[in-house]
Amino acid sequence: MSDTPPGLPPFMQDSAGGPPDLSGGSFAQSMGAFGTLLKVQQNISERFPKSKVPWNETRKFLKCFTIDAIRSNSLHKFHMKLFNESGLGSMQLISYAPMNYIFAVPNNPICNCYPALNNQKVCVATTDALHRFFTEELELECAVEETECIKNGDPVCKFRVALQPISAYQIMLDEQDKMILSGVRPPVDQNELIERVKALTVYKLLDNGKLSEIGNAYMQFAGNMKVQEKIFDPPWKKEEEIAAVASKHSTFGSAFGEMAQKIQDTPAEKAPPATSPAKKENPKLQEEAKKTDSFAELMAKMKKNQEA
Amino acid sequence: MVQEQGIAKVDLTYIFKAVMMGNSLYSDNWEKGVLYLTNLNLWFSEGGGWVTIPLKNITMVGREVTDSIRMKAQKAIGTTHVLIIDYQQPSNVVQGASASAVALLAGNEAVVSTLKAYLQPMCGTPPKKQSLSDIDKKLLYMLYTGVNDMQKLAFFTGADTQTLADSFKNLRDQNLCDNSGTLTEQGKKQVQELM
Repeated sequence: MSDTPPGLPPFMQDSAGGPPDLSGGSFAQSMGAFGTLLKVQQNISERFPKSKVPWNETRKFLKCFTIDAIRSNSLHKFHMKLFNESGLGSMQLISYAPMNYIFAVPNNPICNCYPALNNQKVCVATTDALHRFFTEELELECAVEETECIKNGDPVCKFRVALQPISAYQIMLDEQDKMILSGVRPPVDQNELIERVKALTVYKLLDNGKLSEIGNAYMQFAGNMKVQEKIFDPPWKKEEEIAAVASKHSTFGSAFGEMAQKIQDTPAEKAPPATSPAKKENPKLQEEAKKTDSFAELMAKMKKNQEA
Repeated sequence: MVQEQGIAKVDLTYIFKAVMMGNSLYSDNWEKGVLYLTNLNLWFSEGGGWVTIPLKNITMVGREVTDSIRMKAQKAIGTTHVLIIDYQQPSNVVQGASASAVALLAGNEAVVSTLKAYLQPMCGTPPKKQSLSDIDKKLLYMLYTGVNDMQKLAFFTGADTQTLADSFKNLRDQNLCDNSGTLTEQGKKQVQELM
């Protein structure tokens, strides 16, 4: 094993001063584009492992049967935000059928990472990210394919995510659903029962209120399968709580105190304060903030306290 | 003639010509060095010089990395992030002929993912992603539970007929099931282990 690289590779020695000739993409563009793509991949490596979603949230997502319902689902909103913040562009759900989702990315920034390539689909980073998000963060096995690409002359990039039914059923069906499929009425009210039967019919497990062939085969297959549902908070919980607090309070000052309390109450985020005086000061500050109507007023009180 | 231009320079660990049989890796001669990606070649620093893989000779980028390969890489170089590059090289045995070869690239997750995302479109691999080995396992388990209707198997696994046929062939070649889809003793043992 050699740790010392040799001198420059021959292509660098020979081409010094030569004009770039890369059908539309210059050397600097290509170098910069690789760096941009590397940054996106670093974001994915950093953010995705923190984005594991509990089954009960994925279940709600799978039981949305219209585009509007999916768009207002918390998991879907989180997904879109995560991808946007990772540098994968502003993704939108544009088409839906049970277990099939088509996402579009207008002005896809990933396409800009391939200045030298044209007339082909290039968005491997988005395809891989979608596959990773669905299989690792949601535990939904799937196939992901880029069907249209701006680089291929299409107006937007489009990606088709097709879930593996077994995998979707495993997560979607809870104990009550399994009771229905086994012909036993679960302990739920009539409206919920109707909703559940509707969902099982949409997913082809029931047909006219009876177990379908698919349902029968699945129950045969899943009968011996041991699945352990892990229960934990969804990654967007804290953010939603903070948003709820912000909308509840009329001023920043009063909201700030409750937000600070919520953040401190989160066990995973709890970090010891740097000094003991701060430890004593925080609860006092939170109390003040709750009582205060505006941020300016809170600042004035804090200043007054400091002076005293 | 297209002039060669650099696109990226990265520090990586690699095996330029790995010995692989199926999905098993028999090489452990990982080399730590520098890799240049250009519009024409991959340049690997090797010893005191350079070796290249022309991009036009690459036949596949990013085929599935098995757990055993990941474990071997983890043990040898401390990372599980590996990219497999299949390519053609001139045969040592028959003049004018070419032979298949495999290069393994390993390193930081973001760097390996970026190289894959860059190389796949450059080398013409379509951007599609599906877990094949997972289909093998599911198919094996469904055959074990008695579901052997082709339409139902295709529906449940979400795989097209060809993928399913390949997976079935794979199970049969490994002596896990017979032609009718009945599991062999070895197949049943494998399912018990999976459970």
